[in-house]
Amino acid sequence: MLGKILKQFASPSALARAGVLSMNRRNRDFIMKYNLRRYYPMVDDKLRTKTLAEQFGVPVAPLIGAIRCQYEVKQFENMIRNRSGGFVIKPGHGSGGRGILVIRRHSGNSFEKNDGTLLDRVQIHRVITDILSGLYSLGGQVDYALLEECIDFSDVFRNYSYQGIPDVRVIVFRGYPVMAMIRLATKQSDGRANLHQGAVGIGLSLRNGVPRMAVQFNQPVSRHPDTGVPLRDLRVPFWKEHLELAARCADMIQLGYFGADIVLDRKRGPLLLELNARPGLAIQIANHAGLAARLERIEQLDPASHPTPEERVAFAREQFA
Amino acid sequence: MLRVFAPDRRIVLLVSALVLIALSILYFKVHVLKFTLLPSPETELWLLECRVKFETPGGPVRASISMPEEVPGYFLTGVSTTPGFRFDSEERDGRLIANWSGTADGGTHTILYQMRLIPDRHAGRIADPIEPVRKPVWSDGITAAAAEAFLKQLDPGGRAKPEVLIPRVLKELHNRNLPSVRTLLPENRQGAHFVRIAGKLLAMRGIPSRLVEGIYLVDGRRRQMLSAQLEAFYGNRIHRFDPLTGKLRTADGFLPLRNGDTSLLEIQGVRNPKFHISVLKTSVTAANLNQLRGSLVRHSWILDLSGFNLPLEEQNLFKQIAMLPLAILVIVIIRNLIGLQTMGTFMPVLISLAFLDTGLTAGIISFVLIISIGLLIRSCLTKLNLLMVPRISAVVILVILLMKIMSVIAYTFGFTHGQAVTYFPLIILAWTIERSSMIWEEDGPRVAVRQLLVSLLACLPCYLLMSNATLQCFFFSFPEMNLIVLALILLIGVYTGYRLTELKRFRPLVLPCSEKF
Repeated sequence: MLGKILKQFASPSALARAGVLSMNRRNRDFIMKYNLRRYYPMVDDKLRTKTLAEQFGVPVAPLIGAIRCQYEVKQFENMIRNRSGGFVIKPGHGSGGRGILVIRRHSGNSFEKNDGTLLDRVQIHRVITDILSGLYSLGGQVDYALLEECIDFSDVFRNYSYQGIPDVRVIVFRGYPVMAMIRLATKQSDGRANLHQGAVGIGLSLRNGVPRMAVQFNQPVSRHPDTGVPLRDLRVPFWKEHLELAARCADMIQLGYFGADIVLDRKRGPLLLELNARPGLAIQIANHAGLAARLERIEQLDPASHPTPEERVAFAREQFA
Repeated sequence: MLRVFAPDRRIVLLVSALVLIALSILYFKVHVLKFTLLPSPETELWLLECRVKFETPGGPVRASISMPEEVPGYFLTGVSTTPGFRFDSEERDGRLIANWSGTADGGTHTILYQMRLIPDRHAGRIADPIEPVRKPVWSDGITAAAAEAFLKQLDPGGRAKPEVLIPRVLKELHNRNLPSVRTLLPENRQGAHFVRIAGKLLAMRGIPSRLVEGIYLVDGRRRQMLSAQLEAFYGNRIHRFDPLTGKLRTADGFLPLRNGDTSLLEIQGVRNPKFHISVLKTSVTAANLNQLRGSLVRHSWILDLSGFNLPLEEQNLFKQIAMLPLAILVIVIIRNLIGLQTMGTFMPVLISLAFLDTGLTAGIISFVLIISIGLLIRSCLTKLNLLMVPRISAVVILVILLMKIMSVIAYTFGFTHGQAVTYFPLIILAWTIERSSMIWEEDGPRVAVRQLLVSLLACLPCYLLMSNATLQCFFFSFPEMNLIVLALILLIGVYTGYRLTELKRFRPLVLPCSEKF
């Protein structure tokens, strides 16, 4: 009985040998040490991230507009009236994919959600009102709603995701990409790309973006649970561009340790979706590799050894296959 | 290898300083102030109530009661419970002097002075030495001759040892058939006078002795008069004898209050004063006893900081707060060492604080009821599309009404702890309902219920620690232990090792890579 329970746990020393980064160490040795609190708004405020990205030439999904006050809520129709494509409403300070509404198509008073359900104008108003009242923002502070163009996601991922858009998460440390995975939405994750909600995470080799292994709820899987396609065959085009985009983000925000979420648009190529100052640790399971060893390797480097994003990406692809 | 702790020098210094300070204060309290470290929960405590009743035609009144600061086995501390007089107390020559002064209206008045006896086996060990023998002076030649005759009759050779002679003298002095006794004590008076005469007789044989007066510690003995006893010095020790029986007495609960010429009561401006002492035994928790010990030592900044000089009511309030750091430590352990997420960081602490008042079973039942009914109502509110602040406010008001209804129902069905529901922190409950309903909507009921259960489970160790009488007593007497709790929390703050749940979560990483993929 006791042995059975103990078998479900790894020994701390074995985890340490595998170079697994613990939550406590991530917080103390990396986030607290390399991410100064005053730079957080750059990533927590999506509008600021977007503006910065445009300044630094990092491609992002085009902005439609922002709604800051309750009386502006009804203006959202003016914003989207002349747009035929889909759009996304998201909270400016949201996290974990909360409060994001993806409208695929719209005509008149009918808005088709990502999962096919139809919403009317009043329901959209309610979503925006909720965002403004701070329902999805950290600490519940007053928020604004962001409208941006829907990403026209690339056909290469067609059967790899249920409703949501697959996104590539790259952990960047001191400007070097150190680990990457692609997250696929499932029925269980309700179309969202969060691993703890049941999305599938596929660890990607930094060298070429080839899948290493896939997990759902920390358990290995080989096929997408909803579409049944073998995950091994997934390929991420423009892999080098993905990594260089992530590495370039380090120049635009002053954070030493962050996660960059990148989506692939059919026409525009890799786009920065958002940045995260506290990226999760599940990426280690998806990669079957520990982060600690890689982070320590970067820590030992002379900060001036690879000045450009391209050099840092080349180094990382060489080191962390 | 494992780099579990990454403390820099500042943390190490801070933690060791905190532990050192806490331990030194603990040492000081236990070894110098004689605090009880881990005591039996109840200890007996004797109360002496001194009552001075007097008549006055009206005018200024001045009274003072003098009591020893320590007697064998006890320290004494006193408080006046007399309104209408100015009161102060001082210590002089090993005695506590309580002074009352004021202007009294004509009539009968009473001054009350309550003394507490704080047990301490080191107290009063060193008795005042008995003065060496002085040659006794008798009032006239006849008495002197009678004394000689009395002693000659008892001890013709003059070689009887004190332990034999003293009982014999005390016993024979009661024998009114002897002519010498009738001469020595013509009025057959007992008490102090009797002991003084016996002392004079002993002095003639070179035995030093003195009169002591005191009371007996007998529970419920009201209105005790002072009892006179004889103390004699021989064999390098002081021995006490009961003048009525002539027997040597030890450990009979006698409490010496004065010897020689010290007077217990001095009073001016009154008629017919009467002085009584009542004895009462109460029990007291060790914490209260330590509190009493604390109040005994004046001008000690350590005790000032410990809060022993605060009024009793505020001290009692402090008793619960003194336990909070322990509960907070539990939360830190649950979150940073075990790795469980609770709903709101300190919500379990506040809920378990409420459980202290409601009791565990009633508390859990009320909590589960309020949360589930609250969630039900909250799901109805969702459909109304309310703004966030009004919505949460509505939940708060609904929780208030729920508490009221539950109290009424509990009262109607005869559960007295119905009212205890009001101890729950309202706002915390409302936020818990709000958060769990959001998690319910976004991550499903399973996640919401699990987080609620984990939070409730986290309440248990907090509650068990805070409701533990021994710990309560310990942390109340030694609040400096919270510095050690703080040191522990600081240490956990630099712990960068794995949490217990991570050992399970990351286990796939130490297994060989799955073949399936």
